[in-house]
Amino acid sequence: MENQQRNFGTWQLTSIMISSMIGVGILIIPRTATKLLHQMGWLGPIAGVLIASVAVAAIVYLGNQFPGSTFVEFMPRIFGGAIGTLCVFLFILYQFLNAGITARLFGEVVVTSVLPQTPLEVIIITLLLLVMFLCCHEIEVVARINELLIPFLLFPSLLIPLVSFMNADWYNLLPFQVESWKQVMKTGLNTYTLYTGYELLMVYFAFAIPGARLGMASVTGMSFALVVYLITVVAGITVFGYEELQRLVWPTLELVKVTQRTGWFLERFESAFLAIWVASVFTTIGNMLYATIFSLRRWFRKGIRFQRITAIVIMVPLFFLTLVPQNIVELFSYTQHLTAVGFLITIIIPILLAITQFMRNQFNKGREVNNEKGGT
Amino acid sequence: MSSLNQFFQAWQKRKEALQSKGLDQHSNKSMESVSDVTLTTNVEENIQLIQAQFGKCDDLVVRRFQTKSKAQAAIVFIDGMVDRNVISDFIIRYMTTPDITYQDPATNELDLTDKLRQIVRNILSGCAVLIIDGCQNAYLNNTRGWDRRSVEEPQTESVVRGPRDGFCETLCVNAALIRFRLKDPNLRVRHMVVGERTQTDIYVMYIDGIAYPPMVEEVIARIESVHLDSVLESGYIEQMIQDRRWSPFPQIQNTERPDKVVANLLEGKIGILVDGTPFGLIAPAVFSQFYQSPEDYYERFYIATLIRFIRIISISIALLLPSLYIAFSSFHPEMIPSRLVIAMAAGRSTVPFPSLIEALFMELAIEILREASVRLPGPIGPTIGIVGALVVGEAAVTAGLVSPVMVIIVAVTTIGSFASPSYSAAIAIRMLRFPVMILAGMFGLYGIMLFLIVILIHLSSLKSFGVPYMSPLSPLNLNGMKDLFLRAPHHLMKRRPMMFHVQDKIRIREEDNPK
Repeated sequence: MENQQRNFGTWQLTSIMISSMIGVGILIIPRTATKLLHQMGWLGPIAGVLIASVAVAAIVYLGNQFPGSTFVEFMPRIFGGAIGTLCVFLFILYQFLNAGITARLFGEVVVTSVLPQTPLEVIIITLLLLVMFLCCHEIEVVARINELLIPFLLFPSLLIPLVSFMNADWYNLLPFQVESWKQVMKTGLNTYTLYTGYELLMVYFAFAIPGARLGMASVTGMSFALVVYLITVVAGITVFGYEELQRLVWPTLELVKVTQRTGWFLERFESAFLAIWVASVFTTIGNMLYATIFSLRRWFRKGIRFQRITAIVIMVPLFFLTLVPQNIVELFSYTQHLTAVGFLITIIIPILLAITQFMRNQFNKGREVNNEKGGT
Repeated sequence: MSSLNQFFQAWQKRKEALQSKGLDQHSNKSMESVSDVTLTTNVEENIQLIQAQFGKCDDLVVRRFQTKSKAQAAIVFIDGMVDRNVISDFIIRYMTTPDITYQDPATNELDLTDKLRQIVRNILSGCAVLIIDGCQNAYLNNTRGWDRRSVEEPQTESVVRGPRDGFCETLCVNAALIRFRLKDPNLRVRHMVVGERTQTDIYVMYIDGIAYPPMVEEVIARIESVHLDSVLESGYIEQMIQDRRWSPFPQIQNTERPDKVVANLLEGKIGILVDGTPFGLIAPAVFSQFYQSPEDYYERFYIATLIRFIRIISISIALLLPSLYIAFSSFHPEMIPSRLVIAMAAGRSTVPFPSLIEALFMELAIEILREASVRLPGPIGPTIGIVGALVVGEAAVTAGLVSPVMVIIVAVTTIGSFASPSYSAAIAIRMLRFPVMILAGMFGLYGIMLFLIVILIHLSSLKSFGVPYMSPLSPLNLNGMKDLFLRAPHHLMKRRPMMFHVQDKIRIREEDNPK
């Protein structure tokens, strides 16, 4: 390709991973995690991370096997032309839809809680314009912007749950027992979507500096996300109790709202929280759409100009796509459907890819040994 | 898509063709008019030749005399650019007094040439040219000497503790100020001439063995490719060689302080001095120039670190405070503590405008005041500033045009923007304040955040001579962090910052500092 140097350091990969994972999902996680598990809802993020980490391990394996190439290159190489191309297409489509859903979700949050007079369309358009601006730059800018915006994500996501523990009623966590492990599995399958974003590493690992520790980056990223989700769910359960959580649309935002007896110089925090949270949502959508557009560029073997034109053109269908769900209930049902598709793309395909590659390596190794012996 | 691509390619080709044509037309216009001939052996003919090049120029002085060997001779120079004592005492007296057996004039730099073009160029830069009958070569004597400002304290970058001398308008004096601090034989100076008509001298300075050679070559290549007819200030060079010409951020640092240039040379950067201006350039520049001052390294590190944080806070205030006020008062009043919000509402009750208009109006007023006080003659400048600010501010509040809180905010914002040690960095922040205010007026805190992210994307895409603008913050470099927000004690900064690809990485060697 062009002079795209491989210059993503381990820390940059970690920050890409963290900020791709933590996005809008954190605003609803206390509700989805406690839906089936009730007071044991904090098991949800743990079950989710177990499922996701299998796929992450597969992706790290693939990243080490194919240094310098994105999924656009290695999918057809592993699965062969036709199926590989289909997988690439599905992956790109999924990222595209996921970005749209995330943008819409964030627009809903902003419109319902901070800017009630502003039309939803305006919020989505401004967010998409921002993402478009990012997509017009080279890929190293993505790594740097993630790195720069990490503090904007770290502080609120750790501070808000910790501060809200002031209102916590710790008895809400009791009784300490699991009623059925099947429910834990089901919740895990639902909450693993919190960690989606890791599949973008199939693009960004290609630009890791030779010698960057991909495994290290993924483990750090995953454990950070786990901690954030875990304390958010615990904060949600202890502050509200699981019954009340089911009635809240954005439980984490409610957590912020009840955190107001701190006597700091600001009286209420939710506007500030959402403003800072723009950074986190932006990196999520930005990373997704950048991966989409960038993989299109790699697919067609074009240059930066193609990328810029695509970025501008693709925003139009994306905008109309975000407006398809009529209301928030419909939006959540679309999210559920996308989760099912996402399961195929973010879990099954990477694992299958890794297994196929592993088998092939074993087979080739066997053949080499045979060759050394003088052929079969 | 392919046709679009073709169109772009054709467009690109056309642009390139136009560019190369433009380059052909350039090439030393003013010197082209001087015919490239050699001198003859006849004095009068030679004088005619030189005078023809200058037309009827009355400040071109031709002094004819007879040498001790009875040959006709003449000195040609431009009035005011030469040291007359040198010409009378060491050229004319030397050449005419029979007791002195020495043949040549006794000036400190002496060159022989018969090329007319070179002679004309030297006369223009203050040389006296000596022509002797029967000799085809002319003597080029360095007699440069014109009235110059002496070395004074820099106006824009004053420090409490630190050297008081600043650059002046003369290139060689400025270079000497650097040499005087850096007695390193590895300090290299490359001389270049830019500007077709002004023929401005430029020194590119770097330390051999520290500066990254490809970066030095890049700087020199970029200066060579500058085709301007005039270079009146280093800003011309800065704007022509920076990486992104459309960016609001300065990608090359400028300074009036020789100690700052030396410190930066020692970090592997490259200094550019331009004749005729007290502002030197330092390339590459990174974002930390916005709040770092040479004084940080002269004071003890606790204080220096604290002051850096104060500068960062004041830059953020200069950028964000008015827009935060707009966002809070028009979108998120619930965030302001209730007693304050009552007080603010009482203050605003008579104000007829929305807070965005109020803020824009006040910021505009303060910008006018600021610009006017720069132009006002020295002694009355501050007076007018104080009177204008106090009287206008007070009257505006009393008249109910603006709220008292707004006056406080505008005042703090203006003071905050002066805390940045670099004027050209502060001016970028000052300019960006207005779009943030408008976005805050449209979307509240959400708008402010959108704009901040746009700025951050732009900053992370910026590069100055291959060095990312946000380094060492991004890409993260823990060693560089010692001198980013903090200012580590000198004995801990053993290595030079890595981001400038320094060749000699160690600043303080272990063996030199036994514990």
